[in-house]
Amino acid sequence: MSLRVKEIGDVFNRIAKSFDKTRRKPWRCAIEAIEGLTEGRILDAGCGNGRHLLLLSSMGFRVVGVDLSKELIRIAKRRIKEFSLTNEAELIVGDIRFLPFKDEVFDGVLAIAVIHHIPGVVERVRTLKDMKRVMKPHAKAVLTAWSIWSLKRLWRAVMYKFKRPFSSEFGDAFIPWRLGSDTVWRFYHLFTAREFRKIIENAGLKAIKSYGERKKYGLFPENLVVVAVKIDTH
Amino acid sequence: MKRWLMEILACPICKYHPLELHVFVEEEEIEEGVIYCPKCYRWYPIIEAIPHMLPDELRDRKEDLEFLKRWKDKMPSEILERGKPFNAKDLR
Repeated sequence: MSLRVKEIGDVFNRIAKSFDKTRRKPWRCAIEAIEGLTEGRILDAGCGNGRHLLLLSSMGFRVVGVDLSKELIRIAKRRIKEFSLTNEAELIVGDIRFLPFKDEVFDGVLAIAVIHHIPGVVERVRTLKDMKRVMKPHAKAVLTAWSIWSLKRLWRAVMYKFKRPFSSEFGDAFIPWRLGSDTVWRFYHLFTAREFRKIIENAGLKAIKSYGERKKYGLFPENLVVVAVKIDTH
Repeated sequence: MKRWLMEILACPICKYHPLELHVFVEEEEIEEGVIYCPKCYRWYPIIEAIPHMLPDELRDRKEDLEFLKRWKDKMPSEILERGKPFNAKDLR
């Protein structure tokens, strides 16, 4: 399992530069994590090149970004320095399955397009439970993942399952990233809306909102968004 | 890395808090240093102002050993003697 996760870190290190070029604009839904807050500490789990980190820290929040890819963290760090936000934003090279924080320290959590890179449902729920652990009571988390509902994605999931009938879950897929003449394959677990909401609730968070967010003009929204809150403290 | 981060950091593996901070180079922020968990003996390098806090199996052995070697003289003896997952024994 960890081998697969290591591959994901390596893949993102390889594509970091080209990934950064097309990943500058923050997602609209990210703002839901700070709704009602004027200050506080936010965790950006799987922060990538730091696009949300930059937005929230420039609004006066203290933000900590964690990402497996050293190269993406380096890009994020450089940008934080450029914008003189080193007092507000911190970056850590880390694995979000093993969050390096004490209990109940964050007022809000972002996990934008990251849960779908974790192989295995048990591991995904365990990761979400660790996110819940570091959230303060009543803190909100905004989580997004790729939806399985597009012909192309569904086809990739079917092919993945067909090739590995006994060692995969339905929804697992390899998605290509074109790097010049090269193609790099990234692991995804593609979700149905119900499934995504279910793993979040299984981790003990309460989903208060779920919707689709569209980046392109497909028949269905490509991204699933869930806003969840930590109700109990255990 | 700024010092305030230590207030919320815990060991990613055993979740112990507070962790020890040893600073080797500090300018506007901590550029190089090491974060140490006195409970499970794991150490985490701070390189170019970025702490690396990965689980054992995702750590870069070569980079970690180079780091240990580079800061050998400033590294607390406890880390050199029994630090995890690598220590002075691995440098030989």
